[in-house]
Amino acid sequence: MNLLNKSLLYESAEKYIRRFGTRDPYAIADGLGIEVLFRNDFAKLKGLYRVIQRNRFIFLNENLPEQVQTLVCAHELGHDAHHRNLADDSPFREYVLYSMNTRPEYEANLFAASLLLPDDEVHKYAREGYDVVQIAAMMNTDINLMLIKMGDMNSRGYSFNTVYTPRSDFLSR
Amino acid sequence: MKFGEKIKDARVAKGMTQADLAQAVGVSLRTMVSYENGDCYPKKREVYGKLAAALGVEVNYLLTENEEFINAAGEKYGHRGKKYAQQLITEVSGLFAGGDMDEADLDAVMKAITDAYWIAKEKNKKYTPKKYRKADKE
Repeated sequence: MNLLNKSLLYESAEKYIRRFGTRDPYAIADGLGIEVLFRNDFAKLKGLYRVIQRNRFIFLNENLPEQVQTLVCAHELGHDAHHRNLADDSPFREYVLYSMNTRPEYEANLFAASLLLPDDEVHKYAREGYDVVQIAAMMNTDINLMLIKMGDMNSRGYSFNTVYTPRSDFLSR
Repeated sequence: MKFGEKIKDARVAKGMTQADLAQAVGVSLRTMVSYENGDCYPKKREVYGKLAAALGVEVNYLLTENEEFINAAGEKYGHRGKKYAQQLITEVSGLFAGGDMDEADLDAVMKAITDAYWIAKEKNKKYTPKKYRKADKE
């Protein structure tokens, strides 16, 4: 597997945003020709990415809150962009959003964070003195995703005071 | 459990011989033997109904999603379609073998993947060269 560096993931998300003129993961999936299927019978499973006979599919759990669905969809887009070779017709990989203990899962989360959360907006709220929890709430996203985002921004020259580390398994909760 | 094993178990539980069951269903003994060995599956849907009635089990028990799916894929897309469908099912089962995922999700994922398979096949049609396109049934 190719190890990607962080800036490459950020860049790839930015590229999609420029190309499609939106941060909406559903619109981007549509533009890329990925079929997004909502399933109402998934229990714990949040989402799944899989290539079937050269067609790319994202399966989403319909019962999840909308905010989580969007996050999962963005996460799966990250798999599509960077790990399609792993999900190809060769044996099925652990393409379940379970933990960030594996490299692809972490990369997909970082991709999702870059796609859904604009730098300047996060920066603006942080300058106004809000803390991570408040910013995450205002931007209608998961705290852990926000932490990943801020960690990434720090590595690109911002300096947020992140006292918390993101839970590695937040998507499986 | 495989289709053949299901039939065998149910038949033995009822104290029937293979010949009894074959007669009750209206197939030859040889056919019944190959069902149980897993060499072949009934092609007609009504045979499943007769088997279920003779054995006193649910049709759906015999006709699980997967076998029906694999058969349907074979019917529609021939040998290669069937092989690929089989492979898909094996892979999905493999995904759950690790025990990391919820058992209840297995069926759901199977269903999702099999549904997607038909969509994929339908979408791929437009890449089939005209001369290879079958005069479509639909």
